[in-house]
Amino acid sequence: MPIDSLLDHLLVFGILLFAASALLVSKLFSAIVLFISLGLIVSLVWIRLGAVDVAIAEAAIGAGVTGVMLLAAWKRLR
Amino acid sequence: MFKTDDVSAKPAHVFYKALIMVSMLAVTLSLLWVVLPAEVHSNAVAQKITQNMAQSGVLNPVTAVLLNFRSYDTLLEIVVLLVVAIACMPMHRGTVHTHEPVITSSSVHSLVALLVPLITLVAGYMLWVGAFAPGGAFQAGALLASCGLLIILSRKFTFEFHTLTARICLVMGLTIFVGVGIMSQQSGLFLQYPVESAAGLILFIESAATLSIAATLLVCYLALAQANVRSNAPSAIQPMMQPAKVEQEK
Repeated sequence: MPIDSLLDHLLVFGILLFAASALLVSKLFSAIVLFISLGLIVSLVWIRLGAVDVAIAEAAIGAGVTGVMLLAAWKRLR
Repeated sequence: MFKTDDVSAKPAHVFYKALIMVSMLAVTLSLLWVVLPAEVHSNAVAQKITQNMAQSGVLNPVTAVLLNFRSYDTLLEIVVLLVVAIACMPMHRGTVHTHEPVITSSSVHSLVALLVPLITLVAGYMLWVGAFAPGGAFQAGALLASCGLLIILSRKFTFEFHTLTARICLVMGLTIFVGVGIMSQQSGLFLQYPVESAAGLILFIESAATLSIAATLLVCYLALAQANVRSNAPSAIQPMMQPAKVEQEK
């Protein structure tokens, strides 16, 4: 179905875009926020691949706990 | 890449950035070249799993593989989590008198008061539903950890991991997993659950593992977040912390 493949293409493009931006942007805080958003997009990709357990874990740990830990580390570096 | 708040475009830094980008691109393209032609579903393994699902005690194939067919791997994962928790414990200073301002905004407190019970409920549901739908111990543990993070970030309470209750929470997952494994050795190998009580044993192990996972994630966060606090309270591990404290005061 065209809408499914369109969504898949958008997700892949979004992953590449957010990952590249997280690496290339100059401010550290923006990079952390982009990393958290990347985690959410990867969680959607896991659902499209059929692994819902991994999607829940990715959203909770990859985007949630890792994001908060990165922000705590960022605050310590300031 | 070497990121600071003011970007310096020195030629050495640009060269290393370009080198890292090119090598990462090469790794990604080679992975794509290897992975894309491979077949999507490994039919032999999937058939084996579906044939043995009746003996596993659960309906969700992911939980069956994680907690029954490959339970030894999950046991080693919990060991790794415990090692990480032990490694993070010395950096966690216990209750400190912080100079950080307490968040007095009532909206934050009311939001936390609303969210914490709901998240705990969802975590319990995730633990329960792992037997027949996507869910399980790791997801529930991560949800509980994010609930604890909400409490810490709103500065209503903090978590003190030097108490006995906290240490019991940290080791409970591994202890109960190994205990169930040894007890099921009477009727088979290590970690071979008796088929009629497999469902109950899996739920028992998962409940303990949920608490352990949540406690480990919170210790990891507290090791990061509390390390830059100037503590006036005497800490039981102060003599061990002296060399590290000198580095932090730069």
